[in-house]
Amino acid sequence: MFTKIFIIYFFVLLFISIPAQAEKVQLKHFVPGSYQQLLEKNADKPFMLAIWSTTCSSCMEKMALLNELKESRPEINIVMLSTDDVSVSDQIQTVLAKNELAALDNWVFADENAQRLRHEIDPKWYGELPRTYFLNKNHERQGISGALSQEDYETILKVILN
Amino acid sequence: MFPMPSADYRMLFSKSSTLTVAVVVMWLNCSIIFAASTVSYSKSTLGLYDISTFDVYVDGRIIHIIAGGKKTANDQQFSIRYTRSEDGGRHWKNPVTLDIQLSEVNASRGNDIQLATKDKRLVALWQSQGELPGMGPLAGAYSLDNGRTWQQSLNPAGDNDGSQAYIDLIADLRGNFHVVWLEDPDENGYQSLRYARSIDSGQQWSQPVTLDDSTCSCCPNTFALSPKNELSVLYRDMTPRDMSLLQSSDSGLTWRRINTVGNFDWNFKGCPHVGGGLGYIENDDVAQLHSVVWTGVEEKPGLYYLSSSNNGQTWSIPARLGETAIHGDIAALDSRKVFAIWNEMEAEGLSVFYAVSEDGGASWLKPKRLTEAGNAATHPKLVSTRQGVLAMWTEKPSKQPSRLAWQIFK
Repeated sequence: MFTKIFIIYFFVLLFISIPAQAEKVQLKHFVPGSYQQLLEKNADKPFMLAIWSTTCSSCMEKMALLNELKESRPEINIVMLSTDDVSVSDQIQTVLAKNELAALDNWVFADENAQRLRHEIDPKWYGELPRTYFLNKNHERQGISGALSQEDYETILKVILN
Repeated sequence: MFPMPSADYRMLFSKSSTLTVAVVVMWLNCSIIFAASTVSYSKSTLGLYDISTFDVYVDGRIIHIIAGGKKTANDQQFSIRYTRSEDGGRHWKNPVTLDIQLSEVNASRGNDIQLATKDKRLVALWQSQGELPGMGPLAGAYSLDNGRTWQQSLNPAGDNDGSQAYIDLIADLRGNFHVVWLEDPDENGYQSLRYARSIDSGQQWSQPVTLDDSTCSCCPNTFALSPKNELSVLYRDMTPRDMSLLQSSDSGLTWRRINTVGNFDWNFKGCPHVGGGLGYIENDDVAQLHSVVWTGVEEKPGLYYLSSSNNGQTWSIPARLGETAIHGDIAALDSRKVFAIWNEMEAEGLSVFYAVSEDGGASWLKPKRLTEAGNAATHPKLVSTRQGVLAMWTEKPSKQPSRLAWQIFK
């Protein structure tokens, strides 16, 4: 795990160096019905839903890996969903911009009742983070809690892409 | 049923609407019989616009509440208020606003403001907001006059440039105050469980020490005090991410690891944001320790009850509570009657359920609903009082401000 220094360094860099980039991140509001919308938009296509938060240290540590994945496996459709309050959208956008994840399909929880959104995604998900769902083209899915390694991603993606 | 609040504070403390919790339909000789039972509970914002964090603490016959929220809908300034009940929660004193200079407060449900009291002396601690999201140092206040006036206290961690969170606070039988929190003081990459104590009611704190140098980074910690004045801390360990128990029998001078509370062997690298509940009850000079712990272990995630009759050395087989239960707490009324409370995850939001054991935790009656899911109630707490067990939580019905809610069980 990275240190508090890493986190501070990370955020300081974000705040002082890339305000212009932050403005470019389109952050869609995840509301009741959004998960179904995601499924419809990705009909007959595999995709990966990466759920994260700025207050989850493990999530922040794995941002760079997600960027690497995006670069090395452009055929993977990665959807990012932040469970932070929509009021901290600036911080979310800054994190995404810094990690060059702005071009992905980015969402943020935007309902006063977060449990309603969690339940819509997965009734059995307790809210632990990071949480990643891998959906094949038939949208049969596997949900995994906790930080994943490069090898984890490769192993699972090999399965869902076939 | 819960009596109405006193006339003086009727604007602040109101009775909730009736909630139908069970409707039984029976067909009998071609007739339909409806039998309905109802649960009602009280609610308040303590005169604030909303309540985003609170703690409840019992000292003798007094129940103390400290809570924070916005003064008005458009107000960004956070306000902290204190109130007390001397009759088991039937009536509450006019809330006192902590008249100290507040830096931005970072406390929220799950990382709540904390309160401990002993006689006339009260100590409150919370996380303040630092420069980075979710981070900031401890801040606090103390009162030496039953909570009428408050003074700013020092940071027990001694590092106002650092970040400290997931505080718990307790007063022992001698009047010493003890605090634990999570911090990474050595910047070694891991959160540590840190501890300090105050022998002068929060005016000064001992040099902080590390009780465990690698813990889960984002789960609440829980203190409990035995009838023999032993301190116990329940916290989530790093590897595996099960709940661990530490104890001190010399008022916090030395600590020892006792055991894991629920050996689930949950290996997880992430943020569960869930702690546990812990409470003692004494019977015939034997202290029974009750606990609820949550695990995310893949095969059997959920909330579990365990008990120990040898002060945590060994624990009963975990008994699962609820269906998709999370955020549990526990309190005993006597050696036989034990209450557990938790959030149940439902489609419309988090609801509050509770269950009662009438045989000291050996078995549990069918859980009962306290709140509707649409009320989005969260992080319920239980405390034992002389008049019963008090359940308290916050809830936020759609398009309404978050508020305190409570119910007393006899």
